[in-house]
Amino acid sequence: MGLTLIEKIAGRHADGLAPGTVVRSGDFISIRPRHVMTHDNTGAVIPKFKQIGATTIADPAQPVFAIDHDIQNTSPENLAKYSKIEAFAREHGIDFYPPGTGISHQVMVEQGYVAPGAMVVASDSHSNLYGAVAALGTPVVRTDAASIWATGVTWWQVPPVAKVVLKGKLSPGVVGKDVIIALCGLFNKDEVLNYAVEFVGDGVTNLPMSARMTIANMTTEWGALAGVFPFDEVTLNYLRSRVPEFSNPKRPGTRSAKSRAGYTNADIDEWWQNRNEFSADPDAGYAIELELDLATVVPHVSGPNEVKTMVSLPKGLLVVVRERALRRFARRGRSGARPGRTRGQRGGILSRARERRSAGQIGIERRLANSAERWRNSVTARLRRMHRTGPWSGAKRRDRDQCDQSQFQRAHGRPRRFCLSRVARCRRCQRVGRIYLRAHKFQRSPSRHRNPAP
Amino acid sequence: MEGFPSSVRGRVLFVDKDNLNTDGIYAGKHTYRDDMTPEQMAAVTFENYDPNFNALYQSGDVVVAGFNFGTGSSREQAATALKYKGIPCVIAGSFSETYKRNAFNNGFVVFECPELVTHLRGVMTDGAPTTVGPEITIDYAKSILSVDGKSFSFPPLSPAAQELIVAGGAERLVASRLRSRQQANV
Repeated sequence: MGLTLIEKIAGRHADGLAPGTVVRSGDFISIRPRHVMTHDNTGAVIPKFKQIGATTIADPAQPVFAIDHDIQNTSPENLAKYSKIEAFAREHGIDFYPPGTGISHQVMVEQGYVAPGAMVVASDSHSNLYGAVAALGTPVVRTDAASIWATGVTWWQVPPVAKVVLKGKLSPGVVGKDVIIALCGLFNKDEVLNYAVEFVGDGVTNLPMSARMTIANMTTEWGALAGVFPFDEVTLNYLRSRVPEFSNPKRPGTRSAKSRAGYTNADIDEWWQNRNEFSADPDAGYAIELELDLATVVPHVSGPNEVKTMVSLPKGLLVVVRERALRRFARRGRSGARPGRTRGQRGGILSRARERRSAGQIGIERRLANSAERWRNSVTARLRRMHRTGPWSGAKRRDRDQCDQSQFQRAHGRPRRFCLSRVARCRRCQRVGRIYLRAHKFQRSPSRHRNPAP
Repeated sequence: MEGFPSSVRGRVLFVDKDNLNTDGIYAGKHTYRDDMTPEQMAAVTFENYDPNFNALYQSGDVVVAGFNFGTGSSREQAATALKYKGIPCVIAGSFSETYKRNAFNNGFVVFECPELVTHLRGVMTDGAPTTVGPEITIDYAKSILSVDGKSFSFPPLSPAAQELIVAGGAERLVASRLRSRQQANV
């Protein structure tokens, strides 16, 4: 039986095995990862390192420090911790990325610590992100990080491997996050709990690198220990795009002379030539196989409360709209209109309340006068006045588009199709009545005059 | 297994929740504080999940939890805080592998026994987040635990786990290896 990609990568990083030993799921091995990343918890790993009794780092190019978790905390204790970590890095020649560089796992990928076929670990659960670049990224814990600093190795059991086949293409408006949310919500019976996941299928080629990183990253929440994508053209193009960044003078962080950060185009070409080593054998055995058609994925939101449930966006929006309407009706009654709100009052509820409060105790005449004024300014009063005196006093242009025909007629006293209606004398028949005029047609008499009886 | 207690007896404290994440076990606001003493860490266990847990707990209680215990962030204190509290072991339906790593690396015993969890769920239908259960006896030598007159078997701990528990944690194990390597070099 052939080897899965996970087994191959684990085999390449196994320490102390006789050459040619094949590593399989379930085996306990000692691994020598390419890198081990620690973030703010470096501050907790340093005392462990000292407690082990170690004084020197086994391979100074192996650890990487990237601070990202508690960076908004500018208390003296936290800043002192960061200085301590930076000093430790300087003392032992370890690459250091200060707070503000970015999310530690993203920094690891962008600064070239993660290569296809490499095993990179971190003392953080989201190390799975490295799988986007066809590497085996898996979490270890603080004690393991200290062990790796001291000896270069730690113990690891190769997990069972799950194969996830992605087919088809994402529909417009659907992104990588929706894919992994769907996977978490659809396969929510712990199908991949403590497994390593390999993504295969023609759908993978349709996923850009950003989608792969998002999907790989959230396999942690799905319960997986790794989420690995294959090494294909998309990966190749991404790696090539990073090469110029490594010689950028504005590149963040401090690296030692022996740093293994970054790669060259020659390295990339070599990996591409040997890419069979970085892909699973055709007859590899998997513990479980899952399939997802990307075209059927609809945007979802995880939750409530856990990633094993999800709500589709259309349904979620409906719920939100309905909830809001219900709350509005509960407050304001069935019509949903806001109380006391009339056009012409400048300022909102708060300023009106402030006005009322600052006015103090008001006598009954004042109150009646206020009330009368509010009435005079109200929409209904204006409409009535308008109806009596003519169309242009009080009518506003914006009403035209906002109300339906009968409402318009009530408000303006004429059907919408006519520009003008007033009581006047018809020039034709000399009778006084309501005349409807259209400005562009210049019609000045009722239709019986326009269409004289035969 | 040399160095292991052959059997453990205690009261069951049943934490009936699946997918109990490490934030529920040990809150995030304490995680990046490096100055917490073991006693302080033991005092804040499960505060996000059940504030009443620490009141119910008595020394020597065995915690039994649901499935996928310890999911989420890989914070080590989720395991060490329970160890400092004096809990002899945690039994769950299934664990997050990272949580198991943290436990073994600190010499804290955890193992899986899904049948026990299903049995307790049938028997203890209180509905409270934490309920006190019957006495449990765990026999490591025979890999059997008995509660309420019923026995359940559990898989014996993996070789790496046994080595770590016997050494008292990964730090001690690595330290002893380093010492033996230095002695060999001398």
